[in-house]
Amino acid sequence: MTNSQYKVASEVGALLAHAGSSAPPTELRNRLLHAAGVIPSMAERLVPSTPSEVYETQAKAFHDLCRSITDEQWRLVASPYDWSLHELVAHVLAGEVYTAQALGLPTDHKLLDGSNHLLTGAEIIGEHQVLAPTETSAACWKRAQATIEHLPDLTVDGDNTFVEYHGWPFPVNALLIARGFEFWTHADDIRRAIGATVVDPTPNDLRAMSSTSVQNLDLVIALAFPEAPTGTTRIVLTGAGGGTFDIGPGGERVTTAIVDVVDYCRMTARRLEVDKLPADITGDRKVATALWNAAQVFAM
Amino acid sequence: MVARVAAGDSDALAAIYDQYAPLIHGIARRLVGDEGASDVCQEVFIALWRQPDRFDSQRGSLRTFLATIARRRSVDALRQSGRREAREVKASRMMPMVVPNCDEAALAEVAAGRVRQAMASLPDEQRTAIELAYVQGLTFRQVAEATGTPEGTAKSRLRLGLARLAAAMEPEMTVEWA
Repeated sequence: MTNSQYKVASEVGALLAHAGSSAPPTELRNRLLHAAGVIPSMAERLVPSTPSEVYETQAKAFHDLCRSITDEQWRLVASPYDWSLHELVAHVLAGEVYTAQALGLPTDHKLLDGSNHLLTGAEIIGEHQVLAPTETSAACWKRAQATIEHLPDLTVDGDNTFVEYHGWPFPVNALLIARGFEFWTHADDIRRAIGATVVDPTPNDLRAMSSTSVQNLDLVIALAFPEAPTGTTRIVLTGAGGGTFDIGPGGERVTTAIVDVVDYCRMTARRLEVDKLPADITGDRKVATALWNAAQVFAM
Repeated sequence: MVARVAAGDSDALAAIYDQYAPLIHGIARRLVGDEGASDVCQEVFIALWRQPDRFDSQRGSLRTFLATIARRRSVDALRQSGRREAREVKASRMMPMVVPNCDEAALAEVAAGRVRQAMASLPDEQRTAIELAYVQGLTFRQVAEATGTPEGTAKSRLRLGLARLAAAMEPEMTVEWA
């Protein structure tokens, strides 16, 4: 056989393969799906970062970024706020002080009022406006390091130990992940302001962040959006660090929403508007919208 | 769809199964027979479930990817079943059976229909030779034995049959004959 004949044979073979398609036994489909329910998917096999890891990694990344900011850049505006980058870092510092107080850790500041996230620590921001930005940045990192030292003790029973945070009952582990999420979000605010490329968290960190967010949606809706339309919903977060989550009251599924995991996280941080979230939604869109609105509560 | 499988969405796996299972089962059935085809078919889709990141859309279609796994798993199954010698000949004959890089199953369906038509138009002896070689996976010598002809005649019938098929299948196959 010549090469060209061989090529024809290959292609004929391929087409004959299609021509020779045969229906598998009907029970095979059920067998497969049953097996898929038992065998962990690729997303499930990805080990999420621990709450301590998420917090420490993102705090360190934030600190490293702050150290790279030039004198001129500190005055840039940190969209979506009216703050300068300096004031934004002071806001993060205030958040860290408030977090430490919520966790019962000692701080050098008087007890902050947590009734409003953005106003919490306005005094700290004011104090730091007269200081050098590098001093604010150093103070922020020092505060984070002090919290990091206590992480082993804090996380002993971190899923079941609740603290009050901005009026919400928060498991310690979820709070640490939320703070890691806050560091990442504000780091990207800084990157955008200085013209740098935004950075996705590692898949392991993303998995911890996204699953914490999604798994709390039922609770958030019950507490904050009792009038919102509900129904069993499958949320498929695609990309490394994503996963599939069935949430809601159970029973027949009314909605399926497929969205990239990083887009989802940016939406929850309010860096992507709900109506601009590139999600593929089938079923009741109102339910999906209610979920996205609830997810934004995660942005502290 | 594969991204959804990677995220653990069993609906996506079911959709892919519905689209490709007949093709995969058909490949497995020709290589390992009815008995083992279902197992191979299931293994192919479980492999996709476990390691969807092995699929690279830049390198080929999902169809090609699944068909390749099906062929490999079938050969593995044959080896394990102790029919290695007889069946590997068959498998090696099927090796060129790379499914075309065509994402549209519908397109392949049309092409497959044209193959069936073209096959029907072949003289009986050429059609029989091609079916024995490419559907049943016999070697040239086995085709010759099965048809009671000298090996040279069997080869000649295959060559002529393939040439006619190629001509009939244009533009699906643009072929330069040596």
